[in-house]
Amino acid sequence: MASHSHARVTRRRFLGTITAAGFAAAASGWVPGATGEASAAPALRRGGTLRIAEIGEPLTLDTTATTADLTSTITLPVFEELLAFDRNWRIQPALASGFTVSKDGLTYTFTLRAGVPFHNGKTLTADDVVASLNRWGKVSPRGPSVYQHVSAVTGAGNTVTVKLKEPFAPLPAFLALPNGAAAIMPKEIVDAAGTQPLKQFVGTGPYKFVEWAPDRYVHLSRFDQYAARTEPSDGYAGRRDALADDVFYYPVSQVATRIAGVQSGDYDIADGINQDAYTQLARDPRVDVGIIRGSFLTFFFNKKQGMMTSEKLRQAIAVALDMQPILQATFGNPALYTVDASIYPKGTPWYTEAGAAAYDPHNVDQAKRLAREAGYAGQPIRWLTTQQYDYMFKSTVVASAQLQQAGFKVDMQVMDWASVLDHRNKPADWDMFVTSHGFVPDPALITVFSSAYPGWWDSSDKNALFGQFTAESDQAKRTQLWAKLQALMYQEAPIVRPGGFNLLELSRKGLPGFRASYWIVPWNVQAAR
Amino acid sequence: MLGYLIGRLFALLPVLLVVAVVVFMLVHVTPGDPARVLLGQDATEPQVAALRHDLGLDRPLPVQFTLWLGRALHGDLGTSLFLRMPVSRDIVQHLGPTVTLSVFGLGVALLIGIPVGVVSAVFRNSWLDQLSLALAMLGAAVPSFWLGLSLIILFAVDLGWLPSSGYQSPASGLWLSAQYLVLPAIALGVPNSSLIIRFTRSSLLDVLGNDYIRTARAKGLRGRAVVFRHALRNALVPILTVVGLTFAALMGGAVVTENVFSLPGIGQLVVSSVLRRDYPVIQGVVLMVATAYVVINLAVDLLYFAVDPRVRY
Repeated sequence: MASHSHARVTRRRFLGTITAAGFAAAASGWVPGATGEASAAPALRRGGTLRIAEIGEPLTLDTTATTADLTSTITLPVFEELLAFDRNWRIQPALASGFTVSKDGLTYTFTLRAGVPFHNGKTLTADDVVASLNRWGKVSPRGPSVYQHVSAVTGAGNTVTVKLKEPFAPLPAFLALPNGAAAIMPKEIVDAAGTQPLKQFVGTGPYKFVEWAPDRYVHLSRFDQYAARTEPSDGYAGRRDALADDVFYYPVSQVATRIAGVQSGDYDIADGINQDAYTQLARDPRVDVGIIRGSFLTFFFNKKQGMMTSEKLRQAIAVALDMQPILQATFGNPALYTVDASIYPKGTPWYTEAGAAAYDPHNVDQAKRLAREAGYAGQPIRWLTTQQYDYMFKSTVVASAQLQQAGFKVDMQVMDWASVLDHRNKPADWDMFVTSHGFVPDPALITVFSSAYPGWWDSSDKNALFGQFTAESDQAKRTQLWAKLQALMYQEAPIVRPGGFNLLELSRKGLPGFRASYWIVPWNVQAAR
Repeated sequence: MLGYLIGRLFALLPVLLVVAVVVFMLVHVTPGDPARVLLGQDATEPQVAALRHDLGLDRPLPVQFTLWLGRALHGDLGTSLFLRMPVSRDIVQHLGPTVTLSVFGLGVALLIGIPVGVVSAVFRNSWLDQLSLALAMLGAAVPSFWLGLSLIILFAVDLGWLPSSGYQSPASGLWLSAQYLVLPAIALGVPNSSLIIRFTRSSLLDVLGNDYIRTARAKGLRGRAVVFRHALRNALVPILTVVGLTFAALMGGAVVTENVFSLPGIGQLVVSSVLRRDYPVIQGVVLMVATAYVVINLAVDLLYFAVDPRVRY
């Protein structure tokens, strides 16, 4: 496997330039997806059309302006960022050829690759990067949390410099993430859009945007002038080879229809497969099921207003719950969930059992005692949930039944997802809500730790520890601080985290070059026809 | 006749105004915020507020309503908050699949409904009649969701004869388009045939009891000629009513069928617009469907005239 040793040399050389980020010390062999090879086998055929059944219609194709995964998936082959993640979630170069960090951790200097064309024919310059990053800082839901640390972003020649007010180690992870992405676009298009949604979708990726026919498809086609990297493909990083001439994303909102479409050969890949179909599909000779690890279920408490501002009452709830039955009823097959205190899956650099004693103690007597001490006297707990996402509803039903048995009164408020989003931003409206969290490569990206995110975990201990964590640039120290943060989360119980779960993607049997990943990678995949 | 037509068309206006007020109130009173849906789970409050302002959602409701109604009267239904295209264009794009599917689906319903209904009436109280009753009950009871998925599994997955889902417009080839529509048309037609079976049967039974039918038989006409030339034509008026109502209902989008077969029709548009709170689209579609309902009913009333010369307006 000559290509693999080449990959390692390249990666080491690149990581040598990084002092503040990356997981150089913890290069584990963890693979986020389960199937397939890291790099495309050499003899793949070009041509044809790749047909991908998606979970619905994207809300926008402005990849910067939303953190909706559907938008990130569809725009992944269109837009590129300065950096990208490999399959072990280590940071690799993408549009940047590399970057350096000053000793004080306050200045990041990115060197841009030369001669990278945009889909509109223009060549990438530092001005484009500066404009794109600045818009990202305003428009992206992730931008402001980064830009509060930024004092200036400047470009000169082929370098872009980000100057910080205080050290902020997760910066490279934010710049590599293709979700709420710091995507690089031509300056004119960025300026024309301002803070409004994008009107044109022009990037540097291996596929260019052709057409969006609402409720029918999004059509991308190969960008012939694409400037590919030369390193072997690895996760989202490395060489991107647009093998299929065209890629179509179809909104197929019924999961049963998506599955039938892959079985019948109408689609090559289907996203968002329900976990209860796993056992049957794993035996189906027509399809491959890809498992994507690292998501976790969350029950958020309202820490701004109402009864759940009491830490003791939150702890009482956490202690009353029995995680295994909740996960079993929600995800079915034990291969698809983990009863484990670690937010990050085993094998990842961030794996830690810190705080495990408070994770799943399941002790109804203790729960009753804690609730009594917290002054709980049977007031109904208003819990927002939705049937729009099956797993949210199922887990709420099981958990609230357990709570009722432990003497709590639960007022389950079932509504559609848009209503949940609306209510949960109003502190007077709720005590708990259910959601889930996808895998994020840096714990700084986990929403629970943001004081502004609904639930509003704003304790002084958390803020101090989290500030230390984001400012620390030494990876070994960051790992230790992360363990403390996770332990604090179980102790103060801003959320209940019943456990981890896996997402499923379906593909035609033996689809050459395809491997399941959190956001579907359509390059290096040979179309069936 | 012309006066009747003009009167009916004028009656449309108050209906549409009431519909406009009610739908506007409903969508704006329902909790949920398009800006928040658009930005995703992680957006900050200032970002949501800024987008609400850009979309004009921070203005008082009466102002928003007046602006919207004023433009709607000029034929401008506004712009989709998500697709950023005119609502009218959005509706037109989604109308194609819905109209084609409705026509095909209604075709299937008539092909099943009328013959079975006729047989059932002619051989009333026989085992054939019992069988048709059973069929009608079954058709009405089968959830279209289940029927659609079963058709996909049988004809697309196992037999591989037809595509499992999706849409090709007739412009890209009639044969190709038809392949995509066969299964949805059956899934839509079977449940809708039940009512037609029952109406055809009862209406035909009424007519078959009439004196002129006895006369027709007495003068030696063959049974088939009696049924088809004399009885069925006179039995058509109630059937036409059912067909018209069914067609009007289908114009609102066969939500479940479109969803299962992933057809980009009005039903899909309505569901996705409601879920993402795309106010202008919801309002535009509801107005369009209300108009279609009234117009189709008017067309059916005019058809009575063609079918039954005794009808006068």
